Amino acid sequence: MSVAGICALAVCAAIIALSLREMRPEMARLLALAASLVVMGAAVPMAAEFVAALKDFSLISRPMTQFLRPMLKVTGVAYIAQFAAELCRDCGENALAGRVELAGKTAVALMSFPIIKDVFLKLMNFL
Amino acid sequence: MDVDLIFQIAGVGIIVAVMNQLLTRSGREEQAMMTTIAGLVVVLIILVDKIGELFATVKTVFGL
Repeated sequence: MSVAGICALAVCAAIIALSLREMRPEMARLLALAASLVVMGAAVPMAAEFVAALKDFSLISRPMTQFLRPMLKVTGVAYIAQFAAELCRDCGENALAGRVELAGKTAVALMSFPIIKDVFLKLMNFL
Repeated sequence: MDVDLIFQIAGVGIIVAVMNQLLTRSGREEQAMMTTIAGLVVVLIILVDKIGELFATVKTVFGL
């Protein structure tokens, strides 16, 4: 689906959710969840293409492949954590959204630790 | 992840809203509450496997 289609879809869903909001607030939130699912469903194939291109590119530059896997995993965790945190915030649960983001940051820190360790080791050898 | 998911959920939402108003106006509050809960459950059932599908796609794409 093109970006224009995604934008039009998101605006329509927002308007429908707005009309539902005062009658049935929870249905409006569920409609917002459904709309974000559809938009993510359209965005993920684009990300898949980008990841494939990135993988082809990394065959050329050897050091790149070592860091590519953690980078992609971090992006994936960010995708999902952002998705959940924004939806919690949309439902008015700011504390819950903060906790989800904290969990996402912790997972990202854990996944990016090998890269940090590698950089420090190289730095030590260099000095 | 096709577009009619949104209109499906919107349809259920509107039907539940109208039924709720109808039932509360005619004095049956508890049935109105039951309708709301039923609508909520239906929508959640539809959405849960869509969410699972999306997360599975993200996992395969990013190698999680």
